[in-house]
Amino acid sequence: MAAEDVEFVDYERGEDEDDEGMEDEEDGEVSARALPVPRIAVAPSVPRTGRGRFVGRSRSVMASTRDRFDSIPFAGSSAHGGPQRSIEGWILLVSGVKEDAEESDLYDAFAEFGEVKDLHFNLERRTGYGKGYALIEYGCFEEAQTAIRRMNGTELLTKTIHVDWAFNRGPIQKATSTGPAQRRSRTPPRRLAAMTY
Amino acid sequence: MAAVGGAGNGAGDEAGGAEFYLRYYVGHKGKFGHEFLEFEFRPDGKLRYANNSNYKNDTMIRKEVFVSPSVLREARRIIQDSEIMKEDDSNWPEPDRVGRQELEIVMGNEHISFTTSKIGSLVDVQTSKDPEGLRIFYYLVQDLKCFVFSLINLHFKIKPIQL
Repeated sequence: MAAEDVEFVDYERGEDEDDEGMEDEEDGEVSARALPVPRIAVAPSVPRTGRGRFVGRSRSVMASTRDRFDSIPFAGSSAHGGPQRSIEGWILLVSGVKEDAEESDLYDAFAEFGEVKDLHFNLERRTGYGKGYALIEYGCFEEAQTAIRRMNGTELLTKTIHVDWAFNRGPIQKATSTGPAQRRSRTPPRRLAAMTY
Repeated sequence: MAAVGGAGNGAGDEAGGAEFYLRYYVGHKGKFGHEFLEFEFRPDGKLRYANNSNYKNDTMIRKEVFVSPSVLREARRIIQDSEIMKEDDSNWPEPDRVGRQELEIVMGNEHISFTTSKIGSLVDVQTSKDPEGLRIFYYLVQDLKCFVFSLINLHFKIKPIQL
């Protein structure tokens, strides 16, 4: 599909921001690096069906700020990818949760692998039933990993659930994408490297 | 190790196309300056969150984290289930001095950029010119905020400022 060839998020930063190039960072802290500012650029020729009064005029407030966004530095090895630790532990996403499940059903199922330090089982605002997912925090990597291995693809209240890490240490690799490669071809290699180290 | 990947098998492998982008903004400009909440999911999994309230404290919260393909897939599912992509904002209340909301979603070859005023309650929805469409927007926004607040809260252990 032709539309897939056109990227819509332009990761290039404005030319006025080159004074703080990312390679100049000396502290090596991931949290301190300057972030590329996205410009949502949908060319008029894109055969994508756009709708809404704001089409073509949308502008992220975040995109206009040059301030840095806080993030949690990657711990350990420099290799990107893989799960990202959160402030107090490791967060899992459980999806496919039956709508009439209760928090205690999830707690009981996941407490088997370690202390569940936090659990968000959010409700759908319209119905008051579960929205279909839960977020679960373990203190230890091993507990979280065991929970994924043992619970992913199993049934909870007769419905198959999927259990995976919630956060990654880097961008999603497009290796499994069926779309055309080089989606970010307009991003200069230097910047791309800086974004995805 | 295979288990590390969990259920994740790429963000763009479902029906509806590979591309996904989501941005939501709510805010107003008033005596405390520009107060707003904004978040976005980018195709590479980067979740950005900014929350600025100048009332009492002066700090803007800006957070970002990469989410897994599973989290992106869940965001897509919530949007798909809502059927917001079939709606149109042409009969929704215009943004006004009280505030503005913006919802921008790219999924596959569809791109919506909706804007409307703040919605105080379902009464505002019911008295509007497009109650069915606006109700979908009203509930979807709450469900998306709920999802993002949980992600940000669990990852950074901060509470959002409610606008």
